[in-house]
Amino acid sequence: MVVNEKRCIGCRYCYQACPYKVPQFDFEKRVTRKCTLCYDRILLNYSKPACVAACPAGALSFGYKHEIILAAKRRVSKEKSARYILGLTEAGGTDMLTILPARPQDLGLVVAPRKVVNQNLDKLRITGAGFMGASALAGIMYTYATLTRNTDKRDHDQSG
Amino acid sequence: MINQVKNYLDILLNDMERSPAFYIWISVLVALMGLAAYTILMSLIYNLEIFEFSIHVIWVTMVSNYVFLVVSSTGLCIVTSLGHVFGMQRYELVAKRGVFLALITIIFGMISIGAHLGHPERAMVFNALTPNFRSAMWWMGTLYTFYIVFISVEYWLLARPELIERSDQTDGVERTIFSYLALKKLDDSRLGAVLKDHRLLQAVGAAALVSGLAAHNTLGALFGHIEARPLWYGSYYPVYFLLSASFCGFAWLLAVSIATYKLKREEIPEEYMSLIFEMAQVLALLLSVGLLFTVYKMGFGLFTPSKVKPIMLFLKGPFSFAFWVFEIGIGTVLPVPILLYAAGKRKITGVLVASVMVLVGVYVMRYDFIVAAQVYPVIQAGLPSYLPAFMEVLFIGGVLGALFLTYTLGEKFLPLKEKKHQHAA
Repeated sequence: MVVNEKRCIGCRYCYQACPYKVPQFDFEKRVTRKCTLCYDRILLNYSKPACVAACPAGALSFGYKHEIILAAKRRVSKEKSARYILGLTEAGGTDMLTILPARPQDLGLVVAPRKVVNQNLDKLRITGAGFMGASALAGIMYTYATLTRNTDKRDHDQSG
Repeated sequence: MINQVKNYLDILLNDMERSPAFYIWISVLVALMGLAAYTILMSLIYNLEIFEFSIHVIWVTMVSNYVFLVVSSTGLCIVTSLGHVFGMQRYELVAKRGVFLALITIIFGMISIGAHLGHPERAMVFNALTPNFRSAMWWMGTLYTFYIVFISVEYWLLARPELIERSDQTDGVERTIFSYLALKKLDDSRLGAVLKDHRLLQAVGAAALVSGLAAHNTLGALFGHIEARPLWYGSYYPVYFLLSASFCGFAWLLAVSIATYKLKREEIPEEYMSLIFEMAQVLALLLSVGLLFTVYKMGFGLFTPSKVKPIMLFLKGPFSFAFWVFEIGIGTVLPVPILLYAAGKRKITGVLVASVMVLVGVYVMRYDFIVAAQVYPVIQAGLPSYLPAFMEVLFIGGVLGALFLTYTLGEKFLPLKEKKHQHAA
């Protein structure tokens, strides 16, 4: 995912939507920025992102998603104690996988929701509840108007 | 034209000479606006970071102020549409003041959010050019644009008879200005007859109400859709926002109109008096329902694992003072007996005090609602302070100052008074 800096209005809604605090606001240029996994480098030279190329210990690796998932599982199977792969299922599977020594909630990390429902349906559910509330409000206003119409007539007769 | 402007300035200056309080009021508002202009200038010279108290809590007072003002605007639209949309004649008294307030609150709310955006000039363009129909932000922007158009037309239609009257009473440049403002030329044409028809006002009012409620719902949904912020997520806020809009609307109308009459030392018309006490009772009822909603939110949140921690921020954590004292005490529980007592004894000051209390409580509540939801999942260790940055306070002071200055000028020069609305039968 890449932020189009010429189109970003700087509302920072994407920051709120991200459970991992990934997008950061650039206060100078007034747009949001995030890691692009060096997509320009990769497009040009077929090389790795700068961070992977710079890593001296091979702790970071980069590749096709299915290969990285296999590599992560291989690493975990070599470990003696239990490990947790962050990013396999969270938020529908992320582009970044991290091997953790324990579950994220035990490490004080943010627990991203796992998508079990269709997100569009979920949004419709929430918006729909609001529309039902709005209709109920309009109904209450109508009832208030009809029930107290007699007071109005009395006022009108007195004044007119 | 220049003479006319001079004339109006004379009226203002005369008022200022006659009453020092008015002079101080205007100067304070202008000073606040100057300070806000200074903060905007500084944000352009340095960067937007001067408005943030933590780079991880990125929506603070500007957003909460925006939410507060647009909620008030929708609420005022709800209250006034009881009159000319739902046909309750006694509510037509407050139509002009209410719709004018709804118009200026939404405009200054938009200014507040515009200063918060990194590139407000792009917001309008890309809202139109590259819409994303799945984003609540897009729907909110679009629906509020419609709402502003409808509410402006609604105020114009309401004010038009009085504008024509004024153009008849005056002469010279003033007459020209008023007749252009009212488009008096149309009066004899077929369009003029349509403009005078009460049904047009009803239709425009209904359009404003529908677009306002829909926009307001998407404002709630904007927060409700964010699954990464457990306090906001869910269908509670779209519904609660509508309820809080209605009590905010009643509170604004009561507070502003009573304060205006009191400060100008004018007699409140008898028919408006009885409406004030009826509105006070309705406000008390709505506040009690609001309390039930808050109890539901807290109770339900305590039984939802993901929401326990943000809820505990309110009940016991750093927001507990604001929650118990402002949101529950000043904003919801205390005003109810005051309003009922004042309505029973017909004491106008009680209604004024209670509705101002409601507004203060709701303002603090909006701030907590915005900040607390970002504090829990993002900053788990907590922050040293939860007060907004000083620059941001100055900016918000300027926005509110400009709002009240606009209202004061409107009260002086535009038709806002509670008068029986004349319409073609």
